Amino acid sequence: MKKLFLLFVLFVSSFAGHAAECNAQKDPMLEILSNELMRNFKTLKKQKPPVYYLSYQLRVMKELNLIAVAGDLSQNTKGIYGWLDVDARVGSAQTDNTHELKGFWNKYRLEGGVVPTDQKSRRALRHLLWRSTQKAVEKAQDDYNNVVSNKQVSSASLDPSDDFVPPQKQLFCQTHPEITYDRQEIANRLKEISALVKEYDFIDKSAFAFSLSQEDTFFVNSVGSRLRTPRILGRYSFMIQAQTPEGMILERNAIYDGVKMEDFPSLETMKEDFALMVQELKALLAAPAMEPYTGPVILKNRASGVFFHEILGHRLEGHRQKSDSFGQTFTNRVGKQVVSPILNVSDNPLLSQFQGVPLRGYYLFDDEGNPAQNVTLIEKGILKNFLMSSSPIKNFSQSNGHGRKEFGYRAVSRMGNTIITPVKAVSYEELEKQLLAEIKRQNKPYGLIIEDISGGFTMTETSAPQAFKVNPLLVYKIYPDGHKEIVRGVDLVGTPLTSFSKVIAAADDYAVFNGSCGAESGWVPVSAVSPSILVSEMEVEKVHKNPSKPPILRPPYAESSSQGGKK
Amino acid sequence: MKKLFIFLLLLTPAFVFAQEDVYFKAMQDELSRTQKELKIPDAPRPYFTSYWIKKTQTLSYESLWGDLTFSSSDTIPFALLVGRTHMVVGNAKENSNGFMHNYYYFYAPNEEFKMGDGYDALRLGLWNVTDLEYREMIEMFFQKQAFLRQKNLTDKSPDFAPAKQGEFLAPVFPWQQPNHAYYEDLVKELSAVAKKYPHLEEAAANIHIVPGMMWYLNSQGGKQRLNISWGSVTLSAQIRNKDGFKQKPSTEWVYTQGGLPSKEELLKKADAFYKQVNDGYDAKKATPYVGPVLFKPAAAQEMMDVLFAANVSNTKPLLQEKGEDLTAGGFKDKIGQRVFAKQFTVEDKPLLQEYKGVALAGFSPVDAEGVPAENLLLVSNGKLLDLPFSRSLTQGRKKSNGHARASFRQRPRAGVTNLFITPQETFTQQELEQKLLDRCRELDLEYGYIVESMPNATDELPNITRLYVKDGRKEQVYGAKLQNFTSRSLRDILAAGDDETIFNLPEGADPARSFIVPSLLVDEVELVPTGKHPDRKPFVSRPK
Repeated sequence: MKKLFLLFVLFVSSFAGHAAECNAQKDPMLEILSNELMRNFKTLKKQKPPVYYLSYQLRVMKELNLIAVAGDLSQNTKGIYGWLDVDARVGSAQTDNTHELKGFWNKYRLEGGVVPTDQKSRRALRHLLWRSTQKAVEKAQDDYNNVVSNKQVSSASLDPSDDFVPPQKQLFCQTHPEITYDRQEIANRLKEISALVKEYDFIDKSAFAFSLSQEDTFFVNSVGSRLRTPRILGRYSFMIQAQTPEGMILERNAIYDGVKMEDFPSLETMKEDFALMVQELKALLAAPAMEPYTGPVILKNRASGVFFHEILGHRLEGHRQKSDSFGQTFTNRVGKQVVSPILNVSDNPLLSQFQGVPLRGYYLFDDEGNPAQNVTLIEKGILKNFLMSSSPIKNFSQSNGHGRKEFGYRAVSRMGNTIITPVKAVSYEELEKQLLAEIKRQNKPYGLIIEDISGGFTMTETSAPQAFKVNPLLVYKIYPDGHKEIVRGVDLVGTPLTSFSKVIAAADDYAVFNGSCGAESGWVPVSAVSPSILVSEMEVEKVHKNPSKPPILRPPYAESSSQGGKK
Repeated sequence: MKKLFIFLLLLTPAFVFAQEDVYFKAMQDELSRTQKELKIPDAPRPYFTSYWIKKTQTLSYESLWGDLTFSSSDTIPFALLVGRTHMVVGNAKENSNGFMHNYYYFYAPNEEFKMGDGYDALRLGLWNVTDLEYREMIEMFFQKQAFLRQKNLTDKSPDFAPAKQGEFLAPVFPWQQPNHAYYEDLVKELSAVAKKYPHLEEAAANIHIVPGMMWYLNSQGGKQRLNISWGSVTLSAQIRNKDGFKQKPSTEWVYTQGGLPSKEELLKKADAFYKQVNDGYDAKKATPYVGPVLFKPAAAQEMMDVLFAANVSNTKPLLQEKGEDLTAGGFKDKIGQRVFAKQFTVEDKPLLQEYKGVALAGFSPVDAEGVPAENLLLVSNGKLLDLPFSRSLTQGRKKSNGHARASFRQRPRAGVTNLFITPQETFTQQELEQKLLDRCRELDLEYGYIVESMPNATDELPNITRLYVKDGRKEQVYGAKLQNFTSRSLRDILAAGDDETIFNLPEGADPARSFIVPSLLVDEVELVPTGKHPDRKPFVSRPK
């Protein structure tokens, strides 16, 4: 069973400012890539079966990673890496090597590998391009032969669309000056905050990290495109964990995305946030475990963003409408009501930030060389469009710039910045009032407020139920008289069509969820912008119980009288 | 010979050890707490707890066709600090040691724990691994007791016998900023050597420099601090021979604390390697063969590892519910029997720190269970006299001889350290080749074989040569592998060379070891062709 994950736990945020234009025709790296591609393509297009499309994507990544635990650094590394992906398409756009082989999942990896990051190593780079191309074409020809033989014995696909629509020629070149960070200041900050855990003996695990990734992506293809695009992603992430006596693991975290040092909050603010994390973790430890429940629920803004991403977004990815392996929840529902009429949903990769918060789903060109587009997916609850890569589907023959991938993978349609805008919004205070009214109307003893979510997964294959599970980190019961009580041990579960038809109101308190999303084409940075929403009925179930007991002895620093041992 | 003492040039500010050994202090404090306080009601307490902390830094430089493809100068390296534990719960008679759960595939410890470099962070890491290990050992203890009740075993020899403990503290060395420019130039020059060889499709070189220290402490007084630094040069090349078979041989030269040899020496060795690969273009396809084979030192080392070291190691099989312990050495009951050719002595010398000026990777004066190590005479005049032992003993054994070995991926078990294969008489290379030809003549064979290297005894041999009886001509052969290669071959060794060579193997899946071995002429070896098919030719010519 394949699952689609969305996790907090990654680094990053994106940026737009400070970029400088360059000349795609004169960029030395694009020149090397393009020349070697054309030298190869000239011969490869004459092979039997022929290569009809070829692209190279080279990503140069400069990374800085620091992790502190209990006041000391456990990681402090800086590196520069280059990765090449070669996409060779054999056969024809109508049927090529990527065509779905019934019963197999073999088409999502690309040939390639590590390459030098400096164009001065021209001979080595050209050699690796040549070698990787050879391997990619050998594999593509083998795959194509399998496709041809498999088609003879397989039933016809429900969607007979072509396998590929080649991108239009694009020339674009943008660079970003390297951002320098005060590494010592970051290390000191992490050490200082991580040392605070020593005062709390109920914290079993903790990690305090900073990561920075400065990427330069070079893309060339056989239709003549030359693209160079930068991306900078920086993040502080803090995590503390505790375990209840019966083994349930509880976690609180804080994440700060930024590009420049000044984007991040002060040390004092981070310390205040840490204090709140500790307070919440302590409250969770003392909180009662939740029993299974159905009833009205508020999903707070960031939690709501994750919810829409997982449950709705993945089902609007174009390739899932084409493959007979997927549930195709929305395939034949274009123009029809698919969710509550109060909702508009779009995906706009061109948005670099929202209310000052960088969006990590920002990009100008997708990983197939198509320009990114703002796509209206749902308008007043009615399905309008899908997220499209270069793999066309019935009635949607063109890419809208959502072909995305991690290096080493073949692109499929993915989300970028998913934006949820209600037709009518109320204040959050009013939304809570509506929740209380709904509790009374349904004669429920309480409702739930899902404050924070760690992630979740949804199943989209036909071999599994079309269901989802979302993992809240912080949940409150709210009683008819308005008082709240923290609870633990809750997972949200359900099926998409039912759940989205029950969204009855939304607030105007938009917030950004920045995360990383994992699917067939690997992990890609994404964002969701959403207000809090009120759902008239949702189901929660008990979380999976960890079979392990908590640690037998308390953490060593808890025993040092000079260090604290506070509980 | 000019040598570069690289590890003395590797001082990084982040990597200087404190005068006060914070690692031992953190280990001792957590160890005391563990032995005193760690307990689950109605379960056995820790009888023995040991900790390892390993601090290493890996610097890498890579090149292809003379161009730099990766350099650690682009990075700011940081020491990797990992800790792990080995615990025995119960007591000397009834304990958790030497048993494997039926749901584990390997006799391996809990995953190593990456730690912060400071007292509190170190203790936090040790606390984490201890907690996991204790739970696992309790389960192991109860399962083992149930297993013993069911099986009614007659061998009551201890699985963790009491033993005297030892201490060895190597000096902590200061490290400096590495000379990146030197290694970048060197690695580029190494692969650039290959440019003159027309048949090579690819030529790459890697240099790894790994300074490192290891700390060990246990609850019974065993203590050790070792310098585990090493460096290596790896060359690889790809060729498509005239029959269309693609081959990608590689060679690795490992150097311990002394440092890499001079640039001139490395370039000479690189040239010999690339030339030999290039000459493989005209190699002949292997055909079935049974007869004498001369194993040059690099191949003889692998032969000794597979046929001898593996058979004298782990001779007390693990107790396990399903199947038998396939890692157990086969020489358990062969003491007094001839296992080797008569003219050989085999010794294992954990106390030898260096040999002929080269630091030995297997140097281990205190073993992985804290026991002072003993040098062992394993084979004399071909007869097996002794075996390496840990505190897990077999019937008739009174005590450990300090040969418990453990990598970061293994629990301690008996094994070898610095293994010396010493013949009574040696011959020059020319004499050995003549002996090979003489033996072929006696057997009425057209040719014999010389195996230069053997990275893995079960794979295709990357570098073998036929030596013709008729005219002494040499001819490279491809596509051959060994068949029925068993410890019988140790008794079939006819002669040894005067080219004794030191091979240092740094810690990987197995603990660090050294082999000191000459060329070996074996009387009867079976070679068979592999079933490989020719590879496709490149669609496009290689870029110039």
